[in-house]
Amino acid sequence: MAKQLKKGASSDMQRVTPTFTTTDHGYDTPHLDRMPPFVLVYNPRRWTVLAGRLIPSLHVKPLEAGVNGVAIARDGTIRFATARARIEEQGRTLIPYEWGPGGESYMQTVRTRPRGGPNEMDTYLSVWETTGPADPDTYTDDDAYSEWAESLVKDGKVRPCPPALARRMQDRAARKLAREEALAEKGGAGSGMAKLRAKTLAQTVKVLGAAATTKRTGRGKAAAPSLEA
Amino acid sequence: MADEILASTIGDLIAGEVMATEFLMLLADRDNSILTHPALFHATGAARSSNVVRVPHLGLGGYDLLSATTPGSEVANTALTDGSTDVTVAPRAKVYSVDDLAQYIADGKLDSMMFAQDAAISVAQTLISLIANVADSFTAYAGTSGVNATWNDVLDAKTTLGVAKASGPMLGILHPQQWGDLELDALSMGVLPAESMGGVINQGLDAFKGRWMGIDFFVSSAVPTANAAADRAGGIFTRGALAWADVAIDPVADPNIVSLGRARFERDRKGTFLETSYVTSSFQGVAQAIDAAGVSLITDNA
Repeated sequence: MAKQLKKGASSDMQRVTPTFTTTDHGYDTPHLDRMPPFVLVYNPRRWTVLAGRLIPSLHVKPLEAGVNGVAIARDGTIRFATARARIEEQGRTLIPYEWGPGGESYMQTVRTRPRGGPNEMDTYLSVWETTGPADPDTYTDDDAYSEWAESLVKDGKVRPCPPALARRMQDRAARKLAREEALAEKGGAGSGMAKLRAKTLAQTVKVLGAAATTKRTGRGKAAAPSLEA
Repeated sequence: MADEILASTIGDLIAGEVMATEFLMLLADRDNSILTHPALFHATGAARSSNVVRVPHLGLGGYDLLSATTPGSEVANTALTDGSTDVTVAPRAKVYSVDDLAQYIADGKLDSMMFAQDAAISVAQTLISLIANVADSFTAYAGTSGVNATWNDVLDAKTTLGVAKASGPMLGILHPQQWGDLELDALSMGVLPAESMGGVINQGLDAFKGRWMGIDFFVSSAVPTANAAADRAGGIFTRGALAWADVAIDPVADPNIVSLGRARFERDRKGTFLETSYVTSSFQGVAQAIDAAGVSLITDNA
């Protein structure tokens, strides 16, 4: 089949280009694997340092039928009551979608063709991720995510990291930093990677140090058992 | 010389292409050996009355120690600690429909056997993907956000499990990126590349990567991301960390319906459309069980 481009000077002459058959590999669509929709869940015992901020390390709870009590109703809606109850029983807090940046959801949907195959479907990403045509990866805006996660604490939506926990985390990070610095100083295979790890860990130790030195809370009652004279 | 007979001039006498007698399978996770690991708890419903299988947790078997008694005083009761995990089983399925002519000219590549083999692999991989999705559910974690996984993190996770009184075989499910970082770290600790080449470190690209530090490591591309995909969240577990359940499919007296034990494979002929559909279905569920029996391993995603 030829496609008409433009009529020439004479009405019986036409400029044409042929239309070729092509195989559509979906190069205009991301090639991400399908990820199910999800909710973020706050756990007061899980914290991390990202982009220079101490932030809650939120659980990513997949809303996938058959995972942690989630089921799909006949009308396609997600039955989440069991999963929600379990989250609350564990002392965790569901992060509502409207707590996302700008009062909108923290989740976005993107059309994808996994591995460039013919099946086009929705995949679910956080709003801090970007991807591109024919790309199997996503790229995270660490700084923006970290800023948002920190705002959950600053705005009082979730409790801050207990200073004692920050101190424990700092101890661990400091041990790791010492190991990586030793590896980096030794030279040879892997020392370059050790330097990179040490750089991030040094920042982690510094950030945790600031959180660990705040006022201590949660002390128990004084105890003095009776001792035989 | 003119009018030689060239390959390019006898287009009416030859085929454009001829099929190789062999073919390549596109890339996918196919190794399902993880499902037999003893750290995975397979819950079996005692009756066919619900799609939810409740797994009781019982605080006996040495859970509470004996308390010192005060002479002349009554011994106080110890409260029994119990709990439970509900595993909700949900249906999953896929269908391939093949036109008669397409099936004929595919010359065996799209016959029932191929679809049956695909069914067995994809049912197992679906379950593995559900299991991997639970890896980020644990309170305890090891690793540092934005930092490549190291063996130090693995030992941290193992120590955490030990402190939590976990015991028994340990199972590690990691993303291939995390495993690659661990291999790199092994080399930086003085393991010679020659040993790596000989298979001492690497186990090739199969899912099972061997037992290291007493942990059986497997990789799966289904291991989820964490921290807005800045990291991956694999996990290291002992028995009780997570439970899975499924439905045993009863055989039926129909040659077009085959029970694969935990799944059903069905040949559905649609004569009026000149096509055959191959339906694979299964009922599966996975849930986090005892929180302290697992540690999420959260490390850099790149």
